[in-house]
Amino acid sequence: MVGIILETNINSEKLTEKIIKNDFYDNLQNSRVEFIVNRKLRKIAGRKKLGILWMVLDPLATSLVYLFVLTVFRSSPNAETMLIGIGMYKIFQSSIKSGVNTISDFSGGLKLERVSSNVLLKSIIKFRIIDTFLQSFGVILVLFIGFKSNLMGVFVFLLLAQIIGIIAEGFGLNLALIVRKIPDIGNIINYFLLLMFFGSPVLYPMEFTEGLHYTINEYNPFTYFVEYSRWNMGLSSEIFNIEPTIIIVTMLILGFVAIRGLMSLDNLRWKVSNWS
Amino acid sequence: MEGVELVVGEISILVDKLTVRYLEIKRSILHPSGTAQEVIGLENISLNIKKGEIIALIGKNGAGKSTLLNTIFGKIRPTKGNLKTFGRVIMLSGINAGFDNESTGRKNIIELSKAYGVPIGEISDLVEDVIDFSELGEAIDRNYKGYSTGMKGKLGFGFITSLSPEILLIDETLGVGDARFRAKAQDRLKKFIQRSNTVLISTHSLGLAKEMCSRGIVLDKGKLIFDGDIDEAIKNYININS
Repeated sequence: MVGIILETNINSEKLTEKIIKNDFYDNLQNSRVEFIVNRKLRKIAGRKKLGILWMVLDPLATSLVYLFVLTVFRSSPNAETMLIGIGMYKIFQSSIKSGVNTISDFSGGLKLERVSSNVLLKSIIKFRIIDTFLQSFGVILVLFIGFKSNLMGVFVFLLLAQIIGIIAEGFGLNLALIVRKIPDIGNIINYFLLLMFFGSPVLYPMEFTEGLHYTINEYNPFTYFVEYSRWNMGLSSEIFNIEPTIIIVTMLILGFVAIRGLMSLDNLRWKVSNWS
Repeated sequence: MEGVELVVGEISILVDKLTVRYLEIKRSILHPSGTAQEVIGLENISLNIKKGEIIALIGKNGAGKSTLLNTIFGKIRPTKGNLKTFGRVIMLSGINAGFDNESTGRKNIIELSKAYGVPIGEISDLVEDVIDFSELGEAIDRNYKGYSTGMKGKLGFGFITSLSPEILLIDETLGVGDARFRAKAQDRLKKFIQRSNTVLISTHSLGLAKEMCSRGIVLDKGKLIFDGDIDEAIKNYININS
């Protein structure tokens, strides 16, 4: 095997590698990222006939179910508003869960040689981009063809979905250690996500909320993404009624937490390696 | 590094006062976050392994052999001490190199070869070599999930032993297939070991240790009991057991 690792230093603080950075090294890292991402996609597809197409269909199917339920309850839901909300929420939910569960396997599926944390991080980000694109694809297709939404609105949805996907993945990574330590928190996160689904403006626009419910959503970053996306498609939106300072401060804090989560992958991996 | 004889340029693995303690977290209703209890894996181990050495790691179950190999591999964090390896480390532990159930044996070998850095120009020869060795025939183009345990073992062993690592760690040698195939596998394993620059084999097979290795390291309850000539190492191990 081609010698690219000159020296590996291991102590309680960290594992560091002295590497010969050449074309072979770059190709190997890229092959590993591709390998890990393909495995993740194949794991989702499993033995299903439609494979990863289910990732495209899932937000649409969920939207149809809620559209049906709310129509039965005579809530007169707006299908376009709901589709944007559910599409964005599904991406947020799967990304945050993926971040929390990162800790379950650090091998990347390669059992014989240690995969560097850098490769794992690149794989996480690449998979998140593909996963988000696939989950968004069905939604934007229906919005563009079915609801004649404007091209700019569709593009903004796609962009915002990517941003919320990466942020949620990084946020989830911050929770990974505590969930590993106290697995019960995993259940609490699930309930929190359920509460977010019904409490955030997913199934309805923010203008339907009032009082404390409205105030909470002003500080809920998910609201900014979904409401801005709705505004871009010419739908009812409260995005410009929220104090810009609140949005900026909340997003700065969230961005910092997300980057911290993504950057802490190597520490996290090292820290839990002798937990049994 | 203190306590270790250093021969610059020839060292492959350098272990200095290495201590590994596992954190066993026990949870209860009163302590939902769990109480951490330390379990000793390795205690103050120092070693100096030169390039080209084939070393047997001997000890009873729970002696710390796998912990030492996993720490050298970079999978487990040491609690104290330092460890250095010089070159790419491959660890053979079981027969699954990362095979995917939903792909064929052939596709698996090609994908894994790329991911383990086999040069593109050598992949087709490697694939043919693995198919030839594993005797899977037409089954190589069937999905891996349909393979029997024996077939998976042959394919896994064939692929792993087709690589040429700089540092090879073997956590227990494997028995694959029937008596005839086992002899063939043993032969391939020997060639694999000889092809690798530095080899550390954890084994209960004293015969293999004596045949392949010139040096033996005996571990007991996480401590290094003996490090030296293989015959002396085996005697030490037998003494511990008796």
